[in-house]
Amino acid sequence: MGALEGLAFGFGVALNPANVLYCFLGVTLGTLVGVLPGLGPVAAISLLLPATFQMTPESAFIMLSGIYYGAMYGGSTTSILVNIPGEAASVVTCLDGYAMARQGRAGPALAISAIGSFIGGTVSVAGLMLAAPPLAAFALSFGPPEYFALMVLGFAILAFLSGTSMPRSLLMGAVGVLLGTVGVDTISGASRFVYGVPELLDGVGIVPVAMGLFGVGEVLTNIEQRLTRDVFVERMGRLWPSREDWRRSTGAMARGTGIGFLLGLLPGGGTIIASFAAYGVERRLSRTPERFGRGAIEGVAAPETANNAATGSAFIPMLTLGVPANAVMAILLGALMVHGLQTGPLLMQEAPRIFWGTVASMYVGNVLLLILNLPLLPLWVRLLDVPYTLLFPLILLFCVVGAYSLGNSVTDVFLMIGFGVLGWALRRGRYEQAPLVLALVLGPLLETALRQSLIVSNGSPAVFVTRPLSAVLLAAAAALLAAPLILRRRPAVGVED
Amino acid sequence: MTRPVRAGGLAWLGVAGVALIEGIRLGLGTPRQPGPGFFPALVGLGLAGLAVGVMLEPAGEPAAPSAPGGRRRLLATVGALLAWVLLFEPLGFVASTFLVMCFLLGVVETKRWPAAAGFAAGIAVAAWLVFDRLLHAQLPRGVLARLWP
Repeated sequence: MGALEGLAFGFGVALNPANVLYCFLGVTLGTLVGVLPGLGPVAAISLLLPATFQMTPESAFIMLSGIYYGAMYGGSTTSILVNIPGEAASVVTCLDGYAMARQGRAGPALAISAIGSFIGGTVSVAGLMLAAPPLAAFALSFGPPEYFALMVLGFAILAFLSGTSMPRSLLMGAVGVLLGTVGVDTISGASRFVYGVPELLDGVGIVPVAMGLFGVGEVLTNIEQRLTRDVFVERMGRLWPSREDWRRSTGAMARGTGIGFLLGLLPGGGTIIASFAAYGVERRLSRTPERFGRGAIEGVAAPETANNAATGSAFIPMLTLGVPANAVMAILLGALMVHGLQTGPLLMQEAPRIFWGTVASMYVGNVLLLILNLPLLPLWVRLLDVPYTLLFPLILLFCVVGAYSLGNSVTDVFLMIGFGVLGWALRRGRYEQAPLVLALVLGPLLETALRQSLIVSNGSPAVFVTRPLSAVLLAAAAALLAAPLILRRRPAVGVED
Repeated sequence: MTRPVRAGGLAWLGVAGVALIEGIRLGLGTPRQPGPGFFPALVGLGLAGLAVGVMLEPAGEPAAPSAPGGRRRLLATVGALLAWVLLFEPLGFVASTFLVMCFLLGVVETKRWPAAAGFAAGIAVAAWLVFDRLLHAQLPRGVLARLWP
């Protein structure tokens, strides 16, 4: 199926009234979790996953994807008005967005953010549509060594771009991979790390882990440190940007789209890295870099466009290779598996309704988000008035219900609470949780690829370096891991939460 | 090396040790036919090296201090969550959620009891209607099943 033919087919799926409704629900919930600090898209998608079990796979995927890119739109609102990023990818927007709000220019900042998000999101979906089919066709030639090397490269990128330190990031990855070995070994049938708990035979589920680390862990941190906020709503100013604002923002949005799209593609990359990189490029290119951090509108336009562009391209490795680029993609991959779909390069051929339906729904969702985010902005701002003392019991309630409904078992809830406490401890210890979640999903794939490679090569590890693509990927991974030692300089950005 | 960093590093070394021992117990196999313990043992080895690496890192900024009473609120919340799970099936979703919400708002957040109880009751019933009735989440009914079969 060609791109245009596929898109027409996809619109047939996405414009089905039920799917439009699920798309609307997804982007609305996404905006909501983006606006509300303390509940990100990882926790929200994990929470709603059990509720999608009764839906068709394409409806479920359309709704869950909507939450992801919807959260990128909503995340900027709190960054600009409260100086608290509602979503991790909007951290950098705080710098100039909040400064603009303090100057009484919150309106143009919010408008440029919504428009940039729309442009970045829409262009990246076009890129996804055009790039995914040839990449999936190419990936059909991948064998276990190439998959193994690709995942090793993903971990190396994740560690290289870590906001804390490379050993800490790799350590989190190793813990996630180890957690992925819990349960029945698919090759030998042996039970590993089960310790008499039958619920662990199927492995440690990504949902209790993600909800624990990102939902409960965040709540525990906020309770301990008393989350407070001052909202700059009274001086929002006029909403529509001035001609000068447009002049400054146009180039920033174009560059943000390109940077976001490319960085979102990388396994281990993601929206946060894209937003930081786009901001850095704008500051470097600016003739007046001293304006940055003091209310430069380019400092809002570039990162907000980039993080939305990265959401679209992050789907490419997941849908074509079965390799998630970030923690959200890892959960979406888990969602596909829960719905009984085989992920990897054949997904597009075997489940075209999922692939093309999701692509087309993103166009629909981006239009819905523009409508939701510009005229309804005052309504979203009102949500910030909900005090955290009322919000956190609700977040805990959603987490407990979500974990229980996975298998109607309290074991998953206990696991989630355990990971919640671990998440709190990891935050205090300056460990990032995203590599752990990503590695939990990649771990079983990594192990299978490694063992299959050794079996087909009669136990020779040379198979990884004698196959050209695998050798190139592993060399790139080695270069990234060695780079900090050589350069002693790395970009200080975090990975996606 | 600060005390929290050393404690964290030692904890990860402990996890690595468990992975290594369990991997050997499960069987490492041969390079031609790796056993079920091969990969966990390999990851355990890597984890041990990384734990040592973390302990040798230069000390970074210390964690943000707790707000006054923060640690007490944190422990109370974790305790409430554990109690919630223990009461979830015997008491049922509505009753256990009501009690835990009352505790979180009345004790952890020191809201006035009538307000806390009113909010808790509203949330427990609304959540049951949405998740159980609307989304068919099959939440435990507990005592409710005996009162209203």
